[in-house]
Amino acid sequence: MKIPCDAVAERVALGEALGELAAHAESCERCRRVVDLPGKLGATRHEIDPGLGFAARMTVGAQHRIVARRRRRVTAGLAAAVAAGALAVFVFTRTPDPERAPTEVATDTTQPAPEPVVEPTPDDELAALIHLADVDRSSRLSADWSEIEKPLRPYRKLLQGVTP
Amino acid sequence: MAMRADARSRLLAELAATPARKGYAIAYDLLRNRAEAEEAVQEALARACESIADLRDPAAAPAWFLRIVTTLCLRTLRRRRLKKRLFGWWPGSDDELDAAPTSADTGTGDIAERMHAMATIEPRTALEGQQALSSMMSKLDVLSPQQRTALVLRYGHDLPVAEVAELLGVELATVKTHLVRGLARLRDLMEEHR
Repeated sequence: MKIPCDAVAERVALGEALGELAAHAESCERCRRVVDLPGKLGATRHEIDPGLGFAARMTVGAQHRIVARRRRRVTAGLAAAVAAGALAVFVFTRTPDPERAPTEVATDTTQPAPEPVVEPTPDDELAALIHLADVDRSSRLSADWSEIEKPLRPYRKLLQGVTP
Repeated sequence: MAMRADARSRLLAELAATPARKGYAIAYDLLRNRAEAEEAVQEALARACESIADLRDPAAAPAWFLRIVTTLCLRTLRRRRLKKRLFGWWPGSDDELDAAPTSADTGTGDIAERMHAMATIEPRTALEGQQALSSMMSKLDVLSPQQRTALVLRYGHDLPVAEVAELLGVELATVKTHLVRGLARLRDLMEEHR
């Protein structure tokens, strides 16, 4: 429950009539002080004369501010656009440094990925068989038969005149 | 484009008349400095004219403008408070930060005005009134910017709570809280100084 002093302060603050609390406000010194406060605060108001040409001064000042702010906004926009353009040019025209390339390779410690085992397809096998069947080509390319037959010559002599 | 510029200059002319004076009075009561109050009004005019496209109801322009003024003043008060917290320990900074309004700020710079004031009010009464006023102002400085703004608008400018909430851009309940807490804090400060 509110004590009467708080209730008085609240009513004074909201500008409501004190009603049944008026008797308490009269007898309590704290409440009397609170009741006096709005009057004292009202006295702080200065009826100040803004001086001659106030409206003109304010209009000119406001216009100056509007123009200055617009100029500042345009300048800031231009600066941002130039900065963005410069960044874009830098990013798109940048080439990797050739001197740095080997270093990058050397520092690459990752193992090369194993080559995937490709299962030979039936077509591949057929092509290999045809390749092997070409005896002339195979003999010509793959071996020097004169050299191979050289150690066999004595045996050939032994077999001369023998028919199987 | 031309239509927009035309609408902008029309709005500027409309706001620079009566609403700007009201905004200046609010800004001055919150900031207690002529130059800062004028700056706040000029800045608010510039912002209002730049955001004219956001304004749906042209009839709401003055209230919208006053809200911008109040927001700018709140920002200045917060900045001042932060500056005081950050650099308050520096020797000599108190003089700069807590500088009392000069005669140019209080509008008493004119000798004729001062002579007139002295002639109509008894010097002792005037002095006591001035002391009470400066004491209240120094106590207001202790409050948070929101509490101070709510109190100045509510009691200094005699605005209804709903309008204060609109100017501050907060809920009605929030303004009520600021008012109640601000008054309680002021009362405590007055008790401390007794």
